[in-house]
Amino acid sequence: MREAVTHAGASEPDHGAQRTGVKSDARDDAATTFARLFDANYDFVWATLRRLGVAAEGADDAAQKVFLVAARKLLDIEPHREKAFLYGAAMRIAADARYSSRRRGEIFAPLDDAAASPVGASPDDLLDQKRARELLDQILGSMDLAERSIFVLYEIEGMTMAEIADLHDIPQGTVASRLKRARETFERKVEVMQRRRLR
Amino acid sequence: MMPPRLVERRGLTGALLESARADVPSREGRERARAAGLAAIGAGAGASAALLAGGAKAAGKSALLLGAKWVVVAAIPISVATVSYVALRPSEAPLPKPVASAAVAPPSGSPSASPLPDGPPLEAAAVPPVVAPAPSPSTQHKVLSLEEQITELDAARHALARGDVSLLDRYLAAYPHGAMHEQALWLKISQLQERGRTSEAKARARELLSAYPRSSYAEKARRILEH
Repeated sequence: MREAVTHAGASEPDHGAQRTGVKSDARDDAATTFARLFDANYDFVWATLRRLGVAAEGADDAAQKVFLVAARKLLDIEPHREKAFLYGAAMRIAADARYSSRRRGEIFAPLDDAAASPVGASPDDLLDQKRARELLDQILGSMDLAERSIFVLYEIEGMTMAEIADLHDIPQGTVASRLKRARETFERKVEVMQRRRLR
Repeated sequence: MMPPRLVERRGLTGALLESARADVPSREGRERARAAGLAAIGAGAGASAALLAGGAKAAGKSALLLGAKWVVVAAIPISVATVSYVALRPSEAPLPKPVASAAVAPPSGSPSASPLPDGPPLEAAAVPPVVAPAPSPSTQHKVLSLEEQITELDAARHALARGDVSLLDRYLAAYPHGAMHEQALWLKISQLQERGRTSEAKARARELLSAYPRSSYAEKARRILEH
């Protein structure tokens, strides 16, 4: 906010009611900027948190934390890098949430060790959205984070490789190679799941 | 060339990925987060208290107090040269002298924002300490930072959920001018009401209206007094 005040009031005397008005204007501007940022990105942030391992019941709070970070640093966020900023914050907060879950023993077991989960599930069960999401989360949770994050952005969020490269600030070639590995990993794990079903 | 997306594939692979599309945020969570962010920018007790009150129906007091914690802590560096302690307690009553308002602003000329700040995202490293009212020697309490006060109230709320009101009472007694006193008072009123202790709830409601006439809880407090 300090910068907004400086910008808005650069040529004005910085005192009295005028100053208060400048502050108010700056706050209004910040609120407008934040509202725009929020409305454009909340769903993306929430979904990113979920796919990065934040439990459904914790996703709202985690998303709120992401946007409070954004509110705190609103004036420092580079133009056109808003999504990348939010994504980075979401990655960090998701990591914190995963760490907390692990400490509480809530983390999903790696798929290869999770013998019980898919076994015995009927096709109807697997078609059930909630069950399917649990299985999806389980598979994603067992993937390498670097691969998982790119896989999620491409396969679930529907982003292009160029957008993902921009978000991660890495070359497109790196995105392509990680995505290839991630897809192979994902499909292999789905196969494992199916084999267990048929056992 | 981009490979075809797996979600378009038939079978379990496609079904699993498709399931993610139905996993969407709740409206309550979205509204709460939006209000929290705007409150952080507005940087005032009214905003945080409104959030606390407004979202209670949807999200529950537990999550809200946690939310309020983030709001309050996030609000500090954003506030427009306003001392957070004053902003958090919009009372007409005299306030303790604020401490070092400059401390709430991050250093000027800081590099571009990093979404991965050092340490926890919203640690209150720059939170100014809140000066408790002059205590008598027998009831002397250490000076708590805003973060610590929020933590205390959060602990009190958890204890309250277990039926233990002692931490809340201790906070109210120890920090009658504390940054979270208004919220604690409302929590106490709610607790008394839930237990059917109407006359005590009314007494506390009067106390809230007297100390915080412009509180977001004022209207609710008045309604309690009318019944």
